[in-house]
Amino acid sequence: MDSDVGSRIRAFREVAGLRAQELAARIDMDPTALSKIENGRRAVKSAELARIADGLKVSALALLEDAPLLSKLPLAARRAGQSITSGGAYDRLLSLSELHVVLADAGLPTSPSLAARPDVSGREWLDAATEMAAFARDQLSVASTTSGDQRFGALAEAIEDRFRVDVLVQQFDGDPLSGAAVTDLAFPLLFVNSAFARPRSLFTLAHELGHVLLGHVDDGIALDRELASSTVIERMANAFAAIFLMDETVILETLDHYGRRTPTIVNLAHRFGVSFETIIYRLHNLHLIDAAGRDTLMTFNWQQQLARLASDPTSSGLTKPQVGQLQTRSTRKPGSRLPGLLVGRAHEGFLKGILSVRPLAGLLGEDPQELLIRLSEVEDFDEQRAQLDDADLKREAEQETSEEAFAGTPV
Amino acid sequence: MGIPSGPGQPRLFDGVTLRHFGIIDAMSLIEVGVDRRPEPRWTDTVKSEVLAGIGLPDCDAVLAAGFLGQPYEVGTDDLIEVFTLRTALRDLSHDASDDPSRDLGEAETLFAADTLNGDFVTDDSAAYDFARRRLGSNRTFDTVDLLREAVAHGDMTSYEAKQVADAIRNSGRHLRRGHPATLTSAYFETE
Repeated sequence: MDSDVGSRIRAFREVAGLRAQELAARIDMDPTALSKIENGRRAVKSAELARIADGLKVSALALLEDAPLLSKLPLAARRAGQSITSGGAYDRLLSLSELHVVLADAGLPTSPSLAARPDVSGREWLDAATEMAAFARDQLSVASTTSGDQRFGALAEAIEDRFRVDVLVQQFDGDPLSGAAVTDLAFPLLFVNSAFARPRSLFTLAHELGHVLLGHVDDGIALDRELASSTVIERMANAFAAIFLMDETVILETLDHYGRRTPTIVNLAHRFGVSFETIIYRLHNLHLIDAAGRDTLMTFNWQQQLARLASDPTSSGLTKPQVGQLQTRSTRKPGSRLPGLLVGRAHEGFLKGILSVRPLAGLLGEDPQELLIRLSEVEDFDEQRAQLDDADLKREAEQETSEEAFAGTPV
Repeated sequence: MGIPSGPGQPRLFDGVTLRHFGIIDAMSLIEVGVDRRPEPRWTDTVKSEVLAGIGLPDCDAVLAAGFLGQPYEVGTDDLIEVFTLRTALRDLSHDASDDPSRDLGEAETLFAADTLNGDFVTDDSAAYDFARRRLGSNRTFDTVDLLREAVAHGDMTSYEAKQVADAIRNSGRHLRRGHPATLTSAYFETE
C-alpha cells in the first residue's frame, strides 16, 4: 500500500511537471522524507498527504486509490496548461468532483439521461456536430423558444432537466478557466465562468454541452481557457455550439422577412442571445455572406447602429426595451447557478449521514450552522426538501427582479 | 454505529474542545472524564494543530497535559476512510489559500472513535451533528455534555459546571451553537 501511494505521488508529480525537490520546497517538506514516501520506504502521515495533494493540485483520494474521475483532472490541467490550476475555478471543480466520488461510493450515483444521443462516431467532425446539434435542439426545445437574456438561464435549466447533467455557473474574476465540461458520464457537469458577459457565457455553455453530447469521453474532462478551435475536439464543440444556438431555418426566415440589412443582424443577435461576431461567423459559414462581407460586418460600428435603433427600432423588428437590452448586455453577466442535481444528492447524503452539513451549506452558499439549525427544526424529509427548494426559489426570484430592472432601463 | 461505549473504550477529543479546557487551565476536568479509559485520547493531526499554536496559553496547557498520552496515528490502509470523512466534513466554499490540513483533525478523530468503538468529543456544530448520525448520540459529546456528566458523577456541582462554561465563553471561545446564550446551573443537571 505504501509503495502504491508513493508511486501515485510520483506519477502525479511528473504530470504536474515538478521535480521532487521543487514539490518538497513548495510544501515545506524534507526532500529526503518525500523521496522515501515516493519509494514506499516510509509511510505517509495524513497531514503530509494533505500537503502533498495541495502542492500537486490533486485530490488526496486520487493519491490513495485508482479514482478515475479524480485522476483525470490533473491530466486535463496538463493538457490545458498547468497555470489553469492557479485559479479558484479549478479548485471548485476539484471539490465538486471529490464530493461526487464520496456520494457515488456511498450509493448515491448520478443518473444522466443521454442514452438517446445519436451515434456519431466515425463521422466527419462537422457532420457529427451538425447531427448532434439537431438532436440537442429537438430535446431542448426551450433553446428555440426563448430569446435574448432569458436564453442562458432557460437553457441551463433545460440541460439539467432533460439530460440530467449538472450545470454550475459561478463567477471567478481573472481566472484562466472560462468553462469546463466533465464528460465522464459518471459525473457529467458543465461549468461556465460567469465573469464574462451573457453572449459569451451562452456560447461557452453550448460549447461545453457539445463536449458532453459528442462523447469526448477519452479525455474525461475538458478545461477551456478560450474557445479557440485549436484541436478537432474544440472545433467540433464550437461548431456544435454555433449550429445549436443559431438555427439555420430561423436565420433564413428572418432574412427573408426583414431583408439582408444590418438591422436584421441586430434582430438575430437578440433572438439568439449571441454576440455580433458570433452571428456574423454563422452567416459566413452558412455561405449567406462571403469573406469580404464578413470582414466588413466585423468592423461595423454596432453600438452606433443600436443607438440609431434605440429611437426607432422598427426596421429591426425589435421593441425599444429589446434594443436597450442589447445596448447594455456587454456589461451584464449571467447570475450564478448551483449544480442542482449534485445539491439534491448532497442533501440526501446529509440525511443519510454520508455528509455533514458543511458541504451542503458550501454548495448553497449558506452558513453551515444556520442551515443546520434550519434543517434540524424539521424532521420530515419532504419538509426539509421544501425548505431547500424555497432557498433556491428565493435566489431565482431575486435574479428575476434584477432582470426586470434591466429590461426597464430607459432606451 | 450507535453502540454505547463504556469505561473500557477510549474517548477522543478534537482540538477545539481541548483548547476550550486549556484556555481556562482546566485540563484536569478532561483527565477525570478519561480516567480508567484506555488511550488514545487525541490524534496525530490534532496534536500537530495544537503544536502549531505553541506559545498560546490554551495550546501550552493542552501540550502540558501528559495524560493525553500517545496520539492515534492513522495507518496507510485507513487513509482513504479518513480523507473520505474529511470530504464529508469539508466546507466547499474553502479556497486555495486555506490550510491543506483543515478539517483533517476532526476527520481523524471521528475515524479513530468509530474504529475503536470510542467516544467523539467536539464543540463544532456540524461535526457534532454528523458524528451523532454516524456513531449515535450516546457516543458523541461536547463540552456541555462533559460537564453534565461530571455533575452526574458527583465530580462537580452544577454551579461549578456553569462557572466553567461561562469561563470558556468569557475567554472568547464558543460553545457549540444550540446551547442558550445564558446558561443556568439547572442546565447542567442531567434530565
